[in-house]
Amino acid sequence: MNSDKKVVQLDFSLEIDEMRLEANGHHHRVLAGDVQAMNVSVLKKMIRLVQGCPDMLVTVIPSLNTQLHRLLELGRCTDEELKAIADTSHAIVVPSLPVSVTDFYALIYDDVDCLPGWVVPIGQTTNGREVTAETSSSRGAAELLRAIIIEYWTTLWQATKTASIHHCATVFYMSTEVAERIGELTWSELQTLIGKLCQQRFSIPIELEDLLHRSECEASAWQLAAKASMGVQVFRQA
Amino acid sequence: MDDREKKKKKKPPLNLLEKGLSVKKAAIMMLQGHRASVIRLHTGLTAAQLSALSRELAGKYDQTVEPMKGRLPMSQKRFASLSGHMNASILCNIYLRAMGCHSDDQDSLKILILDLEVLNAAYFKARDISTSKSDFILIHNAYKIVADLVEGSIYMETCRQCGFNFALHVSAGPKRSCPLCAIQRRAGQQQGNQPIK
Repeated sequence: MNSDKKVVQLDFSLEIDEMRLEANGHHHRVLAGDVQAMNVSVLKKMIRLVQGCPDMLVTVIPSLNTQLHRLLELGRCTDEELKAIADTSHAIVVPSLPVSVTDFYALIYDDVDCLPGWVVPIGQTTNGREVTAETSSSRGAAELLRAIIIEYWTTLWQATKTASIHHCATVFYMSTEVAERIGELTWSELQTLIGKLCQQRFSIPIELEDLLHRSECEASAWQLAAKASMGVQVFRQA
Repeated sequence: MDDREKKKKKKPPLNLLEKGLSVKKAAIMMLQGHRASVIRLHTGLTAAQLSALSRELAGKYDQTVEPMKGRLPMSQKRFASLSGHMNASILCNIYLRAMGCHSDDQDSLKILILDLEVLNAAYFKARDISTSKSDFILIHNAYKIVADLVEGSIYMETCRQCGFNFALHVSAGPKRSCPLCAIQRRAGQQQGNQPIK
């Protein structure tokens, strides 16, 4: 993520009246509400903020697009208001977690090249975790990414305790791919991050060097599956 | 013995409870995707009864539930690809563990039986932990794999390098490579060959 790109943050913890747009060099800050649970007034204020600052645009991801169209159908959002968001977009909106693996992957993988900024849920998220992120500099983008990965891993962990190692394969791949493409987190930073997460989640440590490429991620996931089939405890008890 | 008595003797008394249980079992197996021949073998129902049951189920669940007919697929096909080989090995491991057998205990393997309920449980567990859901074996393939394991066409080997218990088909001949090690080698992970146990 380049430094001239904008970082956009949604902060649920603040009242909507406190929303403000900060033009600070290349960085802007918008505070708004949970995308999925966004009520009409929050949405409309967000639209006004976007309209008031033509260089700060918002990309609408499919889930939000659906939400907007639903509002449109219900008559709670006008066509113009919808268009204001849909047509003039640059920033990415990450819906509150949990989202499906596919959605998350598509979101990051597909849009990362033209990613000028992130909108992430800050505050109390759906699974009760507190997510905070530094947004005042380009370093903020890395912090946001960290927050997303940690949050996603946590959500994933909750699922994989009872679900599938298939998810692990996906997330191994996703995490490394994201870092490669974003280029904002250094490898050592990401390795420390995922290494800690692996230690916390798996009873068998995963070597970070094993997860650098897709085939290595798959191999690690297969190894976990093989161990699980032989009765070796692979996930730590919660 | 008059004609009436003869007729009475030809028809065995109908065991409603037993038939009800068989029908229920057949319905479950049908929904799970078992082959018609397997369902008939395990329930004793006739082809006509299965056909009638599938029509009833189709009406209830609004989808085609007619079981596939014909011979069961050959299990050795599953061993052609690495992921298929891994999936088959994972299934066999789980089945053996569920049956209380250890693959390195040949005496236990000799008295192995094909338990349909254990197979179903093992199948769903194996599908859960598989890393490649897209090409995971279907239930009738799983049935054939376990049937071959019981019959002895499939046997288990323990990899000396990583310790993984993997399945092998007798038709593979002397080729006895561990699929997990092969995957690790393909990924260039030498350290991935650490012992499992």
